[in-house]
Amino acid sequence: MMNIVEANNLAKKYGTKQALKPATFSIPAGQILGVIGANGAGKSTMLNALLGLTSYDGTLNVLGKNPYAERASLMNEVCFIADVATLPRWLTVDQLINFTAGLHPAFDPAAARARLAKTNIKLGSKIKTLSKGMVAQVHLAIVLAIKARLLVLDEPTLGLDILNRRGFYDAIISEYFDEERTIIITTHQVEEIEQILSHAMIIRDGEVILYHSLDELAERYMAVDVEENRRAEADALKPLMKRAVMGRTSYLFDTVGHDTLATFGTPRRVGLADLFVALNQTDTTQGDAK
Amino acid sequence: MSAFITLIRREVLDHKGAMLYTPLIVAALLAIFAVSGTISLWGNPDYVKLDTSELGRTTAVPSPPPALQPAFGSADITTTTTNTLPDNSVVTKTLSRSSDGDEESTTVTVSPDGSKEIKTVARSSDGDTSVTLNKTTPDSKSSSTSTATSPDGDTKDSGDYNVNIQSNDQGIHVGGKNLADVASALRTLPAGQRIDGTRFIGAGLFTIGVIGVFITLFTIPFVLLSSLYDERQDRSILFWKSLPVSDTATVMSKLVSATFVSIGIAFSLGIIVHVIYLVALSILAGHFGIPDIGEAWHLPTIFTMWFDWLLLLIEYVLMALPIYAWFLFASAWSSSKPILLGIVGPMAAGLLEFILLHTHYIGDQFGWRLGYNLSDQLKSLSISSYSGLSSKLFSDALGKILEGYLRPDLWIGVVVAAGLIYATIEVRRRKAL
Repeated sequence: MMNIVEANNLAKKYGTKQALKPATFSIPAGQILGVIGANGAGKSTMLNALLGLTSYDGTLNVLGKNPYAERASLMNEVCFIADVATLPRWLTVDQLINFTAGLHPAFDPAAARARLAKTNIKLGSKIKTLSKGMVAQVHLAIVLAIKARLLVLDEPTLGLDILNRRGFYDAIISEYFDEERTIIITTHQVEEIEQILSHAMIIRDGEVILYHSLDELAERYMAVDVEENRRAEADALKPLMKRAVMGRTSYLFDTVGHDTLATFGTPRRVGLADLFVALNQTDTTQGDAK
Repeated sequence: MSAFITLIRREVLDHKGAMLYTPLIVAALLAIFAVSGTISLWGNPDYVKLDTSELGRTTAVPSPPPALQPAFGSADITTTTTNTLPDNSVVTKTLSRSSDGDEESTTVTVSPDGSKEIKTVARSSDGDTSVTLNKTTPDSKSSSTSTATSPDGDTKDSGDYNVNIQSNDQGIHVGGKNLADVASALRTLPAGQRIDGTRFIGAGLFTIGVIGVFITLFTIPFVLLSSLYDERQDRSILFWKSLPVSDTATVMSKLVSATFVSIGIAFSLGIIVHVIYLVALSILAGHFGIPDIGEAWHLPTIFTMWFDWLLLLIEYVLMALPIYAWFLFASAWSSSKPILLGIVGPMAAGLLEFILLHTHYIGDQFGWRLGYNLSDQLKSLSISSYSGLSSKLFSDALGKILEGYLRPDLWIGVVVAAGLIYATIEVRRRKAL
């Protein structure tokens, strides 16, 4: 299967600040990849580089194109929602659909209108009069009506309520995704998208520290509750993180076999959010959990 | 190409206030001003005299429309015409001219309500004119007014041409004069001593010119300064950049729509106002029996004038293009308040130049390029350039306009603008937010 993205020593510097440290990776088609990182970790820098919105060092190939030099032609096959509320507020929904139709050859205005007909959004409404959730629905209707091979979503649901967020991702998965298409998502609501992701990439301080399928992650990272009298034993296995909550101390291990951990208790699958927190705290908190 | 047209449409819609509504309001005000201003000129004896003094130049005038012709017939002894006006009044005009040059015209107007107005204008060969107005209404007795005008100007207004139109039972008054009287006075001018019709066409210069100057000095800078800034301010640039449209196409569409499309709108509005003006004048002139308006419809003159103006407006935009490109660059570059970089920046630079070097090159460039059509070229578009056009194909102004296209500084400016536009495209490419 061909790679949608091929990055070789992809890096970005803002002045002296290294926003993205050299990263080499490739993203094959058919993944739903979650890019997870703290604020300012470099997620958006990486996505902007993929979308041709910023210059970068190293080489980067998206659908066989250099995104910075060929953004316009790349956008025939790439769709993105960068941040909520980027739709031009001075247009009506209908005008927006018409302009998009005039500017995007792969956009099907009838499909977008049909989708919006099922909502309570009026085509004649100005974007600025719509609620945040409605704007997200309009943007979704446009994106879903574009036959793109790569969809990039950068915090697409920030500020939306849980119903809108759920509806948004359900629509993406049921109406957009198939084996040929690829989705890259960043969001702070990791728990909410965890079940739809096939892969996760974790960025810390501008460095890609992890990029695996969720199945691989489940195999590799496990957590177990450790009794007080066996802590020394567990510490010897070099846990990634220890966390004491309500009298239990939970240990998170990287590549320690299931059978070994089973001697302490019942090993659990580690949630992406916990893993992310663990990987972000390993430098500072290792060993000082009570 | 169709995508580029979509981009242009987007820009016009985005700036419809500056590019459409405001020029429309200016155009509407101009239409009102031009019509009422011309009517008030009819009441100004100076105006009439001015034209008789320019008689030599205005011999090549076309014939007035047939409906009005008899009033200005050649040397017939007596001519009688009967017109029915839109309000069903019946007007009968009789013009008698004796061989020694004395003239007497009588106009009888019978309104549908039964009132009758008899007006007699006598003009002697030595230039004395007397007007007698006799009005009879069904419910009142006749009233009579009389006005006498001598050529040395006894009853002239003292140069006060305020536009002041009043309508009462005595008729329509303009600038304190009864328009019916004015019309009578004009009708009694000897044949040939008529108002130069190109003056009415000349109002086209005024309407197109004012709208054009408004657009070039206000609309274009305002639209350009906001065009690449607003999309970053409201973050919609992220949406536009998600569409397969290059930064080059985007920047060019913003430049072309702000400049050439704006100019096209100004030009079209100018033409519309001009036509409205001519139609309104024709209707009013027909109503009051002023004959010369027919010359205002001399189509070759009108089309030549429009053609010249279009060429001049394009030339103006080319001359101002480096300044406009600078505004566009400022709008792409500024992180806040592009007007600071765009307008205050050059002003500060010009001031600095003056203080340090005691020169004023920057100020000169701005003033000259932005004030170009106001200062130099505008002069060539005077009414006299359009006199006697029936005998030649192009106006006197055309040569002057074409000379402007050959100026080296116009094309140097275009090259500078190209550089600034390239820089603007690069800035937009690099600066997503």
